[in-house]
Amino acid sequence: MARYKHGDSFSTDFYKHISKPGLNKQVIKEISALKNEPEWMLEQRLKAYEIFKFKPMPSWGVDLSGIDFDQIRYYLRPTDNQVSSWQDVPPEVKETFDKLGIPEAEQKVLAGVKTQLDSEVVYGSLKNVWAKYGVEFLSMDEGLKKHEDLVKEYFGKVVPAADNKFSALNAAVWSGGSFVYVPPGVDVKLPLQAYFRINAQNSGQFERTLIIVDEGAKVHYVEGCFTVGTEIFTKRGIVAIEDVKVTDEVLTHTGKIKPVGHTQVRKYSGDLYQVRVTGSPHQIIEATAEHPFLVVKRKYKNERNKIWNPEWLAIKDVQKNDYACVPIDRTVEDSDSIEQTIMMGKGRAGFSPVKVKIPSTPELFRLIGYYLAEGSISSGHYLNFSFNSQEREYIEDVKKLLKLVFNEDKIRESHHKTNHGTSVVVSSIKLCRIFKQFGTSAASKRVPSWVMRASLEKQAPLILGWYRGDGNYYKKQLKYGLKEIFRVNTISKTLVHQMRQILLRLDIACGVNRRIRQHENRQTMFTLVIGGQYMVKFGEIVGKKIKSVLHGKKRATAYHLDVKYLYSPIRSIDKNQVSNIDVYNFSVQDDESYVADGVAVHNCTAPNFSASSLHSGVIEIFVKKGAQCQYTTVQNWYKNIYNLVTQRAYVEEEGKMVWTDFNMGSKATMKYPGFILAGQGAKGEVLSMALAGADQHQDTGAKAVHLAPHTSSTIISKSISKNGGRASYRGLVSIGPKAHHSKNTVVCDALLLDPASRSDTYPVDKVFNSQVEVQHEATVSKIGDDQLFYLMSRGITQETARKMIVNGFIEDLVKKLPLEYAVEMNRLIDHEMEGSIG
Amino acid sequence: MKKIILKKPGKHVIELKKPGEEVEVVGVFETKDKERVEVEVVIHHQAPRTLANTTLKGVARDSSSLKFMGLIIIDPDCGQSSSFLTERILLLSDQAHAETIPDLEILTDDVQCSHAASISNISEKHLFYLMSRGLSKKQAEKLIVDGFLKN
Repeated sequence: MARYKHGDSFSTDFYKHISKPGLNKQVIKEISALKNEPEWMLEQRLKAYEIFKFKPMPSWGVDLSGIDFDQIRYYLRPTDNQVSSWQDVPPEVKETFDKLGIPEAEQKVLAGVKTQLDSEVVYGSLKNVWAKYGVEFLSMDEGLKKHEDLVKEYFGKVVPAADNKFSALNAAVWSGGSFVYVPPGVDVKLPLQAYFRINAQNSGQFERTLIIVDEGAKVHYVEGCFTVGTEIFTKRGIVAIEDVKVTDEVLTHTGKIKPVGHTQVRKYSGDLYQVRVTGSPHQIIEATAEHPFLVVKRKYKNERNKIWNPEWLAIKDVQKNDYACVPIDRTVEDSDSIEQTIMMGKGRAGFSPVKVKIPSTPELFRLIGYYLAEGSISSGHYLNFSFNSQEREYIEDVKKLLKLVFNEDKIRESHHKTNHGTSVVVSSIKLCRIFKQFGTSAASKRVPSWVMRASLEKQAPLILGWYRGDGNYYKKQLKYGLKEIFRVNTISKTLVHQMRQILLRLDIACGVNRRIRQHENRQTMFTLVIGGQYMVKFGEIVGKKIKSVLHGKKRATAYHLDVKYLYSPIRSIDKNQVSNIDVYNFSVQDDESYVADGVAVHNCTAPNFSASSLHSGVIEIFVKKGAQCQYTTVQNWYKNIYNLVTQRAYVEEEGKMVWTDFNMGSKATMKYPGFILAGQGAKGEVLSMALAGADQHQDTGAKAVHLAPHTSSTIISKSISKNGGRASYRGLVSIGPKAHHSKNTVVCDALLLDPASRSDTYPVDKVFNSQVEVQHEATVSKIGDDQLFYLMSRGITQETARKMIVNGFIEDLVKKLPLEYAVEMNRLIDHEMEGSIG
Repeated sequence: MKKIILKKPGKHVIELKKPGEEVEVVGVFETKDKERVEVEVVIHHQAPRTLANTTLKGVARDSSSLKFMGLIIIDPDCGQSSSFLTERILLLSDQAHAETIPDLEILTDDVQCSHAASISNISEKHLFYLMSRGLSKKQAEKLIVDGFLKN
């Protein structure tokens, strides 16, 4: 499907042929003229057209009899791919949209009912980053204009027009696609996301991509979509917004924890606001203009408000210095003892759950506080508390508490002269398994919800223990006045925000500062800062007397605190124009609100709907000496599409090419990512996953051609067939006479979900010299009844159990995807698996 | 279990028609000089609960060419069948050419099916080990080849 920039629309009256289906020389000439292409490109197109006419259809692989070349439109104008009304969109597409939680307005855009605006702005900012390193990331048309010499040199060199019928067709009528050039030695850390490039000038039916990675450079190109994590407070801790699930429970504006109703993403064009709030200046909240925030308007210019009545205002109506409301969860769920189930080993008898009862006392909470600051678990059975040797009082306190709470008296002390440290060590698997819930290392420290909701009498000692370990009192006369604050440092982002919530419950307002210490090669540190009038109360907890009056005046504060909220002034609001980015949202039971540090930008892998039936792209990649390239595709075409793509890479000395390929949509796919390992020591890898449902045939695989010595390649293919679908692996490994000491490994695993489905494996290994190792392995299996029985005996429904097994089957491949794709992938698999009980 | 030994190159079709039928197929081929040998084995499971174990082994010398084509077909409604196909070729010369094509076509789900193929040469380590015991290179090679074919 092709969507084009508005700016590219043109008067079509003049071009009579291209709006009609069918292909002839005139159409090709008009396409070329429209694009203002150089003469040689037109010549190539016409030559390719002659080859296309003469080449036979492939006699193997998928059934292609459904393609009628005379019925295809070879160049689509912006209006061609639009469906005239929402009613014309097939119900299956609508259903998938619903399942993925996309609102109707967004669904219409995706289905092509409305024309999409391009994402020029977002793309523009990234463009500067790339430009700095000389990386070119352009549409193929722009690439041809700007770098005609490069395109002329490389175009059609690794996938020549004569390669097969569809590469010839593509070479004749190509439009859209990307051009990427990475200069020598440049390591492009962020994956290049086709989403930005292609939405501006959408990947056509016949897109053409050319990637050149020069010597020693490195790049990862992703075809598909993109997300940015926004952190949401949920019961299971801070979670990125795109990971918020319907099963999650989140903190709402009333300070209660409520379940999520449904999640959604949508496209957005317009003003995007960036808000910074006092107390957490490092967190920029990004939101759309209409997104309501809970705020209190500032009434008096230089004073605090007298009346605090929060209201929901769209962010566009909010001003600097208005108060944003941070809800306080004041729920108390407390008991005298805590019952925990931990797994304990019984020698040869394996593990069994053991119930442990711990008295929930202020002493326990103080010990947890110490642990949060100074504790760690090593080797799974050593519980350590590391203090400075001078902190004798605290060392004794920890020992006393261990004895008191857990009746533990086998406590060892070890001294480290080099850093003047003293560790209190207990060797107890049981204790370690109990303390594991608070995190095992500094960065993973967190507290579970029973601690978050404990009574205030217990939370105060928790703060005390934590402060003793990691906190300090700071007082210094500076030029502008006296600086007096309490600070507590941690490198766990989750912990610092949880402790802030606990302090708010104790009526202590505080802020969080962040210090990035990357240049010192240290982890980012978060500091909880308590200042102003709240120091008095905090001082009471930690046993430091603070005068409430300073220089005859009450200590000042920027915050206001009441039972429900912390009101903190908005430091700054900026806005910029964006168009066509994706924003996230979800609904929450009763309150319809949530606590976020920002609203994410996200695109989804919803099926692309197009009335036309053939997609035939060509991707050519050149990996120069010592360079690396990874190309990732997630394909979820609509189920009437023939997806016939030729993708191949040419790898020089010591270069590396990785294809990651996920095929789920389309009616029939024929796609064999390949590489020619032409230089000594070149490496190639193909990771391919195919899911074939009803009436689908996924004929995928890989092609590895070894031409040089010491080359190696790995092909891993996983396929799933269900509801009568057919998944085939078709591979060719060819090791030439000069490619001595080369290695190749092929692993194909297939999973059949019902008796009607089909799985094939057609591997060909050709070897022309003796100094090689070539291996091929394939297995075909179904979901074992014993596996299902095991999971179902644990109370899991059959459908969930099947989903779990399928997700486990492809897990090692999904792991290779960038995180946001992996999440999307699992969600899509879950959706595809729904109702597939055989 | 019925044992079928393949002696001649060419196409062999083995059909498993009776439910519960079990078969073991073994073929050993050696090529030398300018020989061109192609062996094609089709194991066609047409009844449920059938079992087949297919092993093809070959040694290619000089400038000969050896090609193994194996195909397992399991028809629909042939549940609880198992089929295993192994193709191994030892290349003894740089001019020799080997090709393995182990295909699977599985049309039902309740089966166990796998195949494995490998092409390799005699490892230099193995040769060295035997030669360090006083064997000549020829003797060592012969010993390794015999072991490969018999195992």
